[in-house]
Amino acid sequence: MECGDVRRKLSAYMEDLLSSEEKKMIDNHLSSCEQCAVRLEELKTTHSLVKGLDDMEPPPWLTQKIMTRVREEEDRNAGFLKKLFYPFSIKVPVQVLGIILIAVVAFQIYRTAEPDKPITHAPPLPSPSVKEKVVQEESSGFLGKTADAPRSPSARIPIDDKVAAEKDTRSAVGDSAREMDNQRRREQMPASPQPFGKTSRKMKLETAAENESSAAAPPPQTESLGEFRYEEIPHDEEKTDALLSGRGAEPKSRDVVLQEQSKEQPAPAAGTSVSLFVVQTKRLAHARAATENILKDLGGKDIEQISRSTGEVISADLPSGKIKEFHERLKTAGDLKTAPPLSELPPGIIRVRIEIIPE
Amino acid sequence: MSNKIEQIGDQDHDIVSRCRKGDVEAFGILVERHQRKMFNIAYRMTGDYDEAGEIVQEAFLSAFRAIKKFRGEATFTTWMTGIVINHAKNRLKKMRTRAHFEPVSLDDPSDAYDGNPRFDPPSAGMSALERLEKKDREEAVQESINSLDEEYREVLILRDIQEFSYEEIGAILKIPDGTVKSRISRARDALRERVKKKLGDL
Repeated sequence: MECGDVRRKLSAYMEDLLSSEEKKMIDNHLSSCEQCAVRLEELKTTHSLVKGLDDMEPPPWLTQKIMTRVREEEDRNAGFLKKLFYPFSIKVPVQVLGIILIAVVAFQIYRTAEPDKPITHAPPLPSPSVKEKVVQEESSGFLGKTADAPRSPSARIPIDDKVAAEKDTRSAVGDSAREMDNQRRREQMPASPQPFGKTSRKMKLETAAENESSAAAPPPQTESLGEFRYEEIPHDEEKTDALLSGRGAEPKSRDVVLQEQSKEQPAPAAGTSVSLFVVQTKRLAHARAATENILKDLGGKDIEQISRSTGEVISADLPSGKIKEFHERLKTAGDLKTAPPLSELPPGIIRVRIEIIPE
Repeated sequence: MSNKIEQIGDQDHDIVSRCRKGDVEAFGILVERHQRKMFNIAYRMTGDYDEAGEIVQEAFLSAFRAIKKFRGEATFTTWMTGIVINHAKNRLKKMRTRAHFEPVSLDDPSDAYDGNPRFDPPSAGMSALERLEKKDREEAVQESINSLDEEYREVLILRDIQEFSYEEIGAILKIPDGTVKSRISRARDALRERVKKKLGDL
C-alpha cells in the first residue's frame, strides 16, 4: 500500500472501522513507514485534544430568555389567529366580521355613554343577559356605580368577560354565521347615539326594544324573552324611536369615551412593544409584592398579575416619565436581569411587563 | 459525552407531540433538555460565548415556529442540531463580513474566550500551572477549529466532540454517508496540521 492511500484511511483505521484485510495491510505499512506512523500518532493526539475540550456551561438565564421569546411569539399568534379564524375554520364573509367589530365598538361606547343602563357583567348568553339587566334596572342608584366602573381595576372583569363571551359565542356557533350574527346583536345593549348607519340602527331597534320590553315585563318572562323580543319589534318602533331620541341628549363627549376605552383595553395589541423588565430572585413573593407596591406608588394603572409555573408576570400602565424611577426602584426587588433602553421610550403611557423568575 | 440518541429519542417523542398540539410549556421541557448540548455545538462552531448564546436562542425560536411541521422522521436532537448548525453558519457569515471592516482578525487569540465562559472542569486534581497549561492548550485547539473550513468544522464537532454516529451526521447535515466519512477524514487531517503549527510537535 502506498503512503497516500494509507494516510487517507488513517482516520477510519483510528476508529477501527476498516475491514480486517485493510487493517492488516495498514499495520504492515506502518511497521515499516515511520512518516505514516508519526502521522497516526499526531492524529491520535489531536483527536484526544479535541475530545478533551471541556463542556461549556451555558448562561444560567438562557432557558428563561428563550421561553420568554417563545411565549411572546405564542401570544402574538393567538391574538392574531383568533381575530381572523374561527375554530371550525368556517369561512366567514368580511361583512359579518365588520358587523361584529362595529358591534364591539358600539358596545364599548355604550358602556361609557349610558349611565342609566349599567352593565357590570358582560352576558355570556342571551337570556342571562336580559335577566341581569332586569335585575339591575330594578335596583336603584345606577349613576354613581356606572361613573366609577370604567376607571377602577375591576372594570377589567367586564372586559375579560366580554372577551370570554365573544369566545363563547363564537365557539357555540355550530352552523351558520348568520346565527352568530344574531347572537351578537342580542347581546348588544341600547347602542350609543353615534350615527352608524343602517345596520347599527337595526341593532339599536332590536336591543332598545329588548330593553323596553324587559323593563315593561319583569322576571317571569325572561326565559322566553328570546322569542318575545322578536315579536315585540314591529309593534314598538314608535316607542323605540322615542327612546332613542330621548337618549340622544346624554352622551359623553367622544374624546372621553375613547379615552376610557383605551384605558380599558387588556393586553397591548399585537405589534405594540411592551417594556420588559426581568427580575431574578429567590424570594418570588417578596419581589412580586415589592413590584406591585412600586407600581402603585408611581401611579401605575391596570396592574395585572399572572402566575406561571416558571415565575410571575406583572404588567401595568406606567407614565413614560416614571419609567426611569421605576427602573431604579425595581432593583430593590431582586436581581434586575433585563430592562428596556431608557433612551428609546415613547412619550405617554407605557405598558410595562415585569417577569419575576427564580434563581 | 456520549450520545445515547436511541434511548433519549423516545422520551422526546411524547413531548414533541404535545408541542405540536400547541403546548408551549412542553416546548420549555425540550429547551431545558437540549440547551446545553446545543449551546456547546454553537460555541465550538464560533468560538464565541456570547454569539453562541444568541445562536441558541434564535435556533430554538425557529424550532418553535417549525415544530408543527416536524413529523419525527428524525429524532428531535438531530433535527434541532441541524437548525443550530444552520444558524451558526449564518452567524459566521455575518461575523466574517463584519471582520472585513474591523481590524481584529477572527483568529486573534485575545478573542478566543469572550464574555464569561464557564467551564465544567474535571481538572480538580490539577495544579494551577497544569490548569493554565490546559487552558492555553484548549484555546489553541479552539482556534485551530475556528480556522477550519466550515464544512470540516461541523463534521469534526459533531463527530469528535458530540459523538454523533455517521448516520446521524448524515441526517443532520443532509449529506450521504460516504461524504460524511471522507469529510471527517480530511477534517481531522486538516486539524492535525493546524494544531501542530500552534503547539509544535504532537
